[in-house]
Amino acid sequence: MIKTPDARWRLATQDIRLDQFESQSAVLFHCASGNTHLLDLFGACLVRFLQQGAMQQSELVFRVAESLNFELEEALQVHLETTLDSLQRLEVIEKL
Amino acid sequence: MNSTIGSLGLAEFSRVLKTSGVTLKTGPFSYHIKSSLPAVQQGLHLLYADYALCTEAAFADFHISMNPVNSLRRWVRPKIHFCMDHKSPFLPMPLKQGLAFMEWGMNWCISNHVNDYVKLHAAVLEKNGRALIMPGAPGAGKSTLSAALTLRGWRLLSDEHALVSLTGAMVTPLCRPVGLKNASIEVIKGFDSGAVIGPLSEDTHKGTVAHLKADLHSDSQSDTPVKAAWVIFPRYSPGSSTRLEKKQKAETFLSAAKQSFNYSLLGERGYQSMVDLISACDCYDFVYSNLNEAIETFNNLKEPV
Repeated sequence: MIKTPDARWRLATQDIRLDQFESQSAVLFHCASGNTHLLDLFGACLVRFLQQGAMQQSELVFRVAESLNFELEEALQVHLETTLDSLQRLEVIEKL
Repeated sequence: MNSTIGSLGLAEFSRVLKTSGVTLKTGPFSYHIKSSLPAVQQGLHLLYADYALCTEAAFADFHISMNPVNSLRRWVRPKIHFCMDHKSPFLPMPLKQGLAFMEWGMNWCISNHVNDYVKLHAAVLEKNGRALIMPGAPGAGKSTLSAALTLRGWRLLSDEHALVSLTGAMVTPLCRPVGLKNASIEVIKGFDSGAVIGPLSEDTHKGTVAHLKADLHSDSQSDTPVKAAWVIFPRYSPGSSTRLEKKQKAETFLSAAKQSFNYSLLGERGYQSMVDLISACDCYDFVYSNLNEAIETFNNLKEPV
């Protein structure tokens, strides 16, 4: 398993809308930019947890894997880290 | 009972269209149209024959005129210009493309000036009180498919714009002729010998274009909104078998929003409208090559749970 740097993440803005359809992928509307993004199941879950408050990355990825009934294997961890990076680039989340 | 455009003889209709003009109501919008062009006069008289005739001064959302360019162009490769509210937004087009130019201009009025709805570039049809929205890029085969469905009992709500309400997943009808291009014209003529198809506009930037008279349903002129039930992305693929496959809703949302004229402009209201729409609808990709099989597939669609 790769070593995850334990950053602390939070939403960059509360001004977002997240709508998930049929417990699958979701769309996220960033009110400030007016952009709409497609999130997979994992991305939607990450944002949902961060809507509850800031969280350490180690705890965040563990809780996402647990809530979706996935083993926290390397491939999933890499995918979640990539998704976090993407969400940061889109100014949806930020590091504390 | 109101008289219709078809109740006037062509000669009288042409005279009125050339002089005082005619107000044509399609869906929630009305156009005041004036034109001295025989192709436009004949085309409107044929394709809008069953629309209410209003020759008196009445409120109109858009004031349109189509007339020859006044210059040497009158004799050498004659051209025409389209004016909306006394402004000419396009370069002149060849005279022989008059009717297609008029229809495109009427579409442009909606595309550029209406923001009370999320407007999707889509064909929309209705059956049993439920609307089917077919967004698609040009060439996907949506007009051919919507023409065939219209000729087999579905009610056309629009060939060009899905007018989606800002809340509640309702679609407002905007029934106008279906634009057919190139091979589709003969396909539809062969599909139904009773199809009423207007004059050809040749050598346009889309090739040869003709329009199908599409107000074939008793409610065609109604503008009462209809609840959306299906969003289907059609794709004509020669020789393919007919395939209707579920499409993920979030992916459908993005694909449909890409086909919108004003989703971005409407901001969060546009987003909410699309959430309501996608939540209410079953979503599919559809590949076809056989129109009869396509119609059978659509006739068997179940209402969303």
